[in-house]
Amino acid sequence: MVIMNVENISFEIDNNRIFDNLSFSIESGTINAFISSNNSCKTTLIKVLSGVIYNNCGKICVNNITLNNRNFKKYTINISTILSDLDNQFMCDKVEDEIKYILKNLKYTKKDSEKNYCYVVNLLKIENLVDKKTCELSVIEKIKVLLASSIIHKPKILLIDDLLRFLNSNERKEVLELFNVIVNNLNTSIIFTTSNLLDVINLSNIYVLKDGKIIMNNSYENIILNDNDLSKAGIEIPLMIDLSRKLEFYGLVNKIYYDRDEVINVLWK
Amino acid sequence: MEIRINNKKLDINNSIISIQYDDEKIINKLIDDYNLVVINNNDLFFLGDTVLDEISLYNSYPELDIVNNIMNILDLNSTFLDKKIVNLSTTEKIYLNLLRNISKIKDIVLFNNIFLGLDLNNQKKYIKIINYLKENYKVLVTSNDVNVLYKIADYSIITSKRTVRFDDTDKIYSNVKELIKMNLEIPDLSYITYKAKEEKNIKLFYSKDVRDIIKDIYKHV
Repeated sequence: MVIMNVENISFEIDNNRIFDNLSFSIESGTINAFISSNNSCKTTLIKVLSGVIYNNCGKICVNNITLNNRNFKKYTINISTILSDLDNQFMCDKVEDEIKYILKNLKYTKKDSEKNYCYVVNLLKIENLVDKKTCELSVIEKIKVLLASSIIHKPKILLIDDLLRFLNSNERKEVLELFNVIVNNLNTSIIFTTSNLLDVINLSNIYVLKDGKIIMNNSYENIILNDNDLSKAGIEIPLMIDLSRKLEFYGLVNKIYYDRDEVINVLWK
Repeated sequence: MEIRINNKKLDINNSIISIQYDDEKIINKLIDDYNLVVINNNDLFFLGDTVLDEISLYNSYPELDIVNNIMNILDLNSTFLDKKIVNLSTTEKIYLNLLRNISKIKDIVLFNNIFLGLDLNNQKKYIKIINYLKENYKVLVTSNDVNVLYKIADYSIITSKRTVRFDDTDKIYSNVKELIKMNLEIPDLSYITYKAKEEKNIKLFYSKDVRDIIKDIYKHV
């Protein structure tokens, strides 16, 4: 089922066209990544999709509600957004208050609020963080708390702007696993932006942006086959993929290997 | 010139020094001990109205020559200085964070995980900046990506549990066995070179570039 439909959105800043007739649709319960080089206005795209920046050129529809001047509230209730500016997004001193914050604004009863709170804390396994102060959290802990506070009201769409860039490879895997947990348990669709191919490994819905246009929309396995186009779009090919592609070019292997040991075993059987 | 990490004296005569660590406290102590100028991409909080305001707020006597040269490397012209901070993109904010910090550079500068979130083009620009700065300053670099560290460093330090385990690039990466024992991260190219010798009895040269190792592999397959 399509949960978000975007038709022909265009956007300009200072007479520079940033998106040009961008159209795509997002299925419910899926993880979707938009990947592009730096300065490709990924943050602006997230802000436009979230309704923070209103764009009257084109049509954005979530859960059959089209974003316009009159129904901003109805539209945004379906969406949660996490921007990349990590430290500026915390409103409360304590983690527990931070996670519950949005429910106060949405006028949840104390009972419902508690129920949802316990559910997300358990879902994301962050029991160890709830008694901490937000200023004491490490980067990955901050991200987990932001995720919890963003999904506590069970939005249809979760928009995440370039958040994985703060993480090392193990932490990145951990957060991507949490994305799966969220999608599988809440049927929320996740849309996140990144400039790193390692963030989108194994995803099936990846959009590659270049000059404000979608130049590829495919799964990870298919996208990395177009390494020339990715390089032209300013996206770095991870070292093992680069190595595999070059070995493939010389006829030394016949597919892409992500694992170092596997490459060695294939090269010298 | 020397620095001390947890009482271990390290000569840092080479100019680009990489530090691999598993505990941030070791880096925080280094910053405090040597009053380092630190560049990272996480601190994007600004107080100024324009870019120039922000740089001036950070340092009353900014090293404008260095700022200008780095702006050239980043392909920014002088109009960038007049831009309002609210209108900057995330990448431009990362640039501004670099410029305001570098304006107060002294002897040593620490690029702390600066490749996070940078695309290929910007990574190349930052490597150019590091190479430009190394002419006159000591440049310390940390990264979560050991492949990057291996590629750019003249001298490497590996710490684990707040102790220096290895130093000097050549020794480190030809000592993969020890790194594996200590459960430390190993650059892909060093790992493949080591494993080819250990398990397949194939002698490859330790190289920092994929193209070099491909030639070597081609000879041996």
